[in-house]
Amino acid sequence: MTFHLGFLTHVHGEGRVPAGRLYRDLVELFAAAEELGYQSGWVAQHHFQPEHGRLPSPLVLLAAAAERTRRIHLGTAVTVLPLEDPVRLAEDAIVLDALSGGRLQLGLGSGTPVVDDFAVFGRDVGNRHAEYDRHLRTLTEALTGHELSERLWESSLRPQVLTDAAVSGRGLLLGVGPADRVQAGLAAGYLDAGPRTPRIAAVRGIFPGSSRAAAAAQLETDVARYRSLHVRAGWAPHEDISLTELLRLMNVQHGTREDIVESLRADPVFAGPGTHLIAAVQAESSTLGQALDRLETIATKIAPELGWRP
Amino acid sequence: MSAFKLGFLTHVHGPGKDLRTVLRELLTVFAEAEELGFDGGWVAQHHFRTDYGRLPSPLVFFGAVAARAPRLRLGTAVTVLPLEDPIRLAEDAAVLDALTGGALELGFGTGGANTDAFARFGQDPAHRHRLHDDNLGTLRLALGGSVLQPPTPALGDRLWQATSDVTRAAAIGRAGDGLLLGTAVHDPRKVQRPLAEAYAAASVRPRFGIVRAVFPAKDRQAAQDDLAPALEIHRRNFAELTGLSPEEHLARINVHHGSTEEVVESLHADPALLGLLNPDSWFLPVVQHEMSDVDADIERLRVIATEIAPALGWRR
Repeated sequence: MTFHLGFLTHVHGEGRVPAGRLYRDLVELFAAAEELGYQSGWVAQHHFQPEHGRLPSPLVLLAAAAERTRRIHLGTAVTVLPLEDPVRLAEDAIVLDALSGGRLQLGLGSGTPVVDDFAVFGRDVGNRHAEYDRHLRTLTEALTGHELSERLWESSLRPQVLTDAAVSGRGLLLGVGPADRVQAGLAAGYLDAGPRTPRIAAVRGIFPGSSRAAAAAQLETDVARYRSLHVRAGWAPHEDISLTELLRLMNVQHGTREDIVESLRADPVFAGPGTHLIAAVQAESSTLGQALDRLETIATKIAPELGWRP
Repeated sequence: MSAFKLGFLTHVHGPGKDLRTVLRELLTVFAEAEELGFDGGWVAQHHFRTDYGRLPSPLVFFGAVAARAPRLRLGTAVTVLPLEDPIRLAEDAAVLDALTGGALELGFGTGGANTDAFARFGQDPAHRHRLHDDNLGTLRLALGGSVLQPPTPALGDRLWQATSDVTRAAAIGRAGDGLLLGTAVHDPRKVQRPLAEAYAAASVRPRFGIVRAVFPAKDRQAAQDDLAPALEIHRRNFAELTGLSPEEHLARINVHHGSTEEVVESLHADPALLGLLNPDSWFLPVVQHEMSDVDADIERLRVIATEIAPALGWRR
């Protein structure tokens, strides 16, 4: 099978890494990934987060990455659309797309109800879906006739949103939750709507280690906070699930190269209708060096096993 | 010590060019300016323009400059503040300031030259002063507070405002912001000097960003010949310029032009320039006109950095 290989980072910064260093390292991560043949790099937008998810302005940072690279596509997964002025977002996206020579991939989401960033913007988190729909209309109108319209993506659990995305030529982003079986159902709904050129990206944590148990143990502290987040999102039944079960629900592939190849071959999205594999290689405490090592292992050892060629 | 900081301001023109070309050329101008020793590059924000004023997203553009010309300070003159979400703007500014190690200078205007853009943002240009002041208050709180990430308290000392109102100029001084002069058609003696005096009287540590069109050439006639087609276009946007001769038009909009000696003499005679500049202040020549090409712009920057600015007391 052939697929598109990308990477994603939530821009964590262990301890007190100064933001400037964190951002400059991130630009270097894009350059290194391009060298390894990655076709895209994606960043997540988070507001007001001092430790986990430290990038509120993906497009500003991707402009620096654009100038540092030549081929790799530059994505957001996701931009929190209800908190953006859709006209200003369209302007920023068009400028970045021009700066990068048409390399922007703009992923959109509606935000999560578990954080209080909406209040800071003077918005009601309860209206986030309605705001998302309204802003999406304004954004797509502003981009009418622009080639960037062909490079929009959506991440949503709402069937109607995915149907509209399919009909309108937008891609489907499937992330760290819910679990892969549920995602396979979302992908099926998207495909049923008959997209002309389906684009389905499986975002998967990929953490190579000397064994499944060793790789899981390395992640234990970092993923602990997701127990409550997953329960609140409705993606885990309760907080007392095993580490193995939590990692499964988060779609984190871990272990030896062989383990990871095997579990990706069993992934109902990636091995099914998926067109893009987006590897998330940074946990909360990961260093830049660890992220680079993982990117290299994936591009040189794991992805080629699965049929990818740089 | 240098008498002032040397920058340049561009409105990002490019009639008939695609946006990719406009931005590639603009990045080249910034890279060349860094090589020439300019302290910084400044851009104006315009919305929905197709030929002149092509940059709606200064801070995204600056993200690219940060990678291409990392020694330059980066300024906006101006960001149209009534049309921004002040929290999102604070976040973009904070990320850019962290990325560049504190190189951002953020200048605000009320959008008098962008009134046609307000409706598309769901705003009424009649409210533009109130929107500006409300958004500036929110932005200041965000920069000084504990919610914004990454924290960027120092940027609060690098804010600038433009105004054409003497009362507002004094308020800008009291707020501790810098005053931008000459971003539109303003007579230096009758309009800019009173603004500067009201501002300086109210400010503890005044700093000015003074914008002047500067077109060095072989001689005055050569500069005027080069500028003639641009003046035709410029005249269409400003009713008060109708019927002026080219010489009168250039005088009215403060275009310092001619040989190096003539430009230096003309800048010395400017009633709202050298007497105001200090080491915290910026001299911001505009070298791009509506029809100029990028090589000519860079050549003018070279003459300014190597001949004109040193004659005015600027040191690299």
